Amino acid sequence: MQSNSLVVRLLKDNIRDSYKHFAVEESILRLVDEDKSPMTLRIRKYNSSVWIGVNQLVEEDVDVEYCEKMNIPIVRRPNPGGAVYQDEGSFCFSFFFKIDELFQHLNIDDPSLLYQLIGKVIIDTCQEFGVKAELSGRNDVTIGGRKVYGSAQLQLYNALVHSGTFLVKTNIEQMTKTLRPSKLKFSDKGFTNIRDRVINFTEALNRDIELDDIINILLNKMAKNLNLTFSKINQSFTKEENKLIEALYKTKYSRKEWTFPKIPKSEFKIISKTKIGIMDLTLTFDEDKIRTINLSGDYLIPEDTSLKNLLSKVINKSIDETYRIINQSDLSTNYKECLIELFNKFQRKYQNEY
Amino acid sequence: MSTKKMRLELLLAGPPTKKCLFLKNTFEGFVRNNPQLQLNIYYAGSAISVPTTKGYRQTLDKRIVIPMVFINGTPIPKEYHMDIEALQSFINEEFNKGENEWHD
Repeated sequence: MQSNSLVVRLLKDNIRDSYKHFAVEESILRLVDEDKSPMTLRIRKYNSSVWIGVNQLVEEDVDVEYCEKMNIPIVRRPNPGGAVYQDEGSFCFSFFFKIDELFQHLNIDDPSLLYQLIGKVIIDTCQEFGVKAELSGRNDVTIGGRKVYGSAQLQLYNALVHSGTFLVKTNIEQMTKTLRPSKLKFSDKGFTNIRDRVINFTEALNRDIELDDIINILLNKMAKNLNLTFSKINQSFTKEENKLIEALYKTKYSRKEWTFPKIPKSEFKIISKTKIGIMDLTLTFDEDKIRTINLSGDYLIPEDTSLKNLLSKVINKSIDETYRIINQSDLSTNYKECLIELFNKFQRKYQNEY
Repeated sequence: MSTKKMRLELLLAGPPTKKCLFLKNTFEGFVRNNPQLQLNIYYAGSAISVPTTKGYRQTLDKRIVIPMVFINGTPIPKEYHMDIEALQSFINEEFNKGENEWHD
């Protein structure tokens, strides 16, 4: 054991059911916050499944029909980020800790720095196999510009879980069939499809490799870089963890309502990349009239008062009346066209759903 | 008398933890004492049925922090989340700005 190293429980529970899996994730996080579970590194492997981010709509990012046909479960994660496909060819890990304790140990004060520190662990792991990888954006690691690893964080009061996913030999063909990521997101990153965006580690290595070979190197690098000492492998949970896992599995993750929540029928959200920037329209629609409306996003705002006037005028108006109000407004032609494009999208979505 | 209300928003874990219940009860108390306050509680991962404030929407990120507390669309730093007096002071400060400064 290195001096002043932190002792971390190493957990390999071998639960491959995705619903149960996330019940475990949330249970450990809750219990770490309450000082009832120790600092833990959990190595996770899965059967084929699709996970969506906590704030996503399944239908927008996943081919639900295909997943049902192939018996691939879809589950909502407790953490943010995009939809991902996982199978036996990838692994994940989750690092659960009390924020004050780990940050003091690492001498950092900002959770975002952990993305860099753990990203460096991934880069060093790749380097051990002679593969050059690099940090990309805030939370990804790429090889030759393609993503091999992604991560996300979830903080609950004083506890935080940092989760990472490493693609080793995932079925990319199946990934492309299960996911339908937003073209908007890809176009922003300069890609047109999933295959150009991600890479398996075996492709970069040009040979097959066992997941455990990478996991063992990763654990060594993590212990060294973060000055941690892992316990012997634990395969089971504490009594308290088991109790909470069962409760969260039954009341949350195994329930269809968790992954497919019933969104109030009248509320619509449209995000569109227009020529003046990304526009985000949220409106409630009832008896063919707009009842509430909100426009936000990352776009160039012309006359703020003109926009406010326009939004207030369309309340309790039909979509046809809204088009007329937009056309008669004193906004620039560019801006009018973008708004009309946004309302066209809304109309298509509305007609599809009703 | 104006019907406009000042927004209070909480993002909590679902189902709520003991600490979440403390926050929920605290804020429900604030609203009971002042009918011009409106409380919206969001549970992480559950559908949100009301338009959120701009301040809330701007915090959606690759990282979720629970809880999040917004008073009139302004995020409140975590060190004040369990401090009832500090929370009441933040509410008073925003409330006293007047309803023209209250965000939808």
